[in-house]
Amino acid sequence: MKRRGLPQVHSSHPNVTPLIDIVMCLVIFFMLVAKIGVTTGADPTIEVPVSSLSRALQIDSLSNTIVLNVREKKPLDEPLVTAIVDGSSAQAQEIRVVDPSTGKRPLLEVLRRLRFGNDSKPGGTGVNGDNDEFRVIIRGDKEMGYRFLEPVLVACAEANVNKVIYQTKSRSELVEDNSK
Amino acid sequence: MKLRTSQKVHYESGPNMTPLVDVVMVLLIFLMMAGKFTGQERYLVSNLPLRQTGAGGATPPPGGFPKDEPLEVEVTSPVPDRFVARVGQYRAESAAELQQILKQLQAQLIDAGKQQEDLQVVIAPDRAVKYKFLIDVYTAAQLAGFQKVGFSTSR
Repeated sequence: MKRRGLPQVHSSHPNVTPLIDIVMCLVIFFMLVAKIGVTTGADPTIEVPVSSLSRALQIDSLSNTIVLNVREKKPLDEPLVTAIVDGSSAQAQEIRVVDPSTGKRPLLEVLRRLRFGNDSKPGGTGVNGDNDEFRVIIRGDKEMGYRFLEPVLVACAEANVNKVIYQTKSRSELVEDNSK
Repeated sequence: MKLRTSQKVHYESGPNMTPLVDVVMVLLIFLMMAGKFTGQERYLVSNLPLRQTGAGGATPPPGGFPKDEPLEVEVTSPVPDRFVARVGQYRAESAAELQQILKQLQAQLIDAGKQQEDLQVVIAPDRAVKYKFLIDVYTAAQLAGFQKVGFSTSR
């Protein structure tokens, strides 16, 4: 008896199923890992100092954190502080330490509001509640003098911010930068 | 005459995957280009010293304020690319020297019966000292074993 074989298969193109599998895995990976549209407000043009003790820190909640970019405001002899406050803008805006026209202290007001809620006073609940986990990350220009950093630290202390963190580079990152 | 027809051919059936592959490839390239894949950022995490005076008015810790005054590290910058740190009678011109001095002082204080958690360092820089030198001093203090390090207002 003549055995009937399988029908002949003609395929005009290669089998793309494995390719799609891999590409889908890659797409899912990049979607999970990539931070698109999420910004801390860190100014990439600021050259931060190097420290051998710096450690990696995952900023998991931006609601508890503000990144203050601090540098010298040329030609004025005063600090230029920029940050994103409340996510109201995608770009960091300047927050003056002291507004000479009104005498107000916008930086202190912002820090107090983030630390103590809308009433900017200790105590309260809801929108006026305190945020004990609130932290300030200072991204300072390594070449600026202490006189530019000092008013920012004073504002942090007056706003009762207990967690002040200094952004730095590790030695290995410095080597990578120099080799570019 | 009976013509011999071609052998019966079975064509692979199924949806056309080409548009799907196109779209997925575009998505892949977009995500690869738009994503930020810099490594984790690095930070110097601080435990600020506690003092009874000064700005802030923080709530005292459960054990109260440490009784001892913090070690004050005066930092000056006689020339723009150097710093000098002074702790009492000691003087250091590099972070490594300062770290050694602070280690010695810490050992002396602990031998004298002080508690490690009460030991604090306050960096008192001059207004002109560059921030990078302050981070060096800060790092030296932390490497020496001090857990509470902070800055005071400039002199």
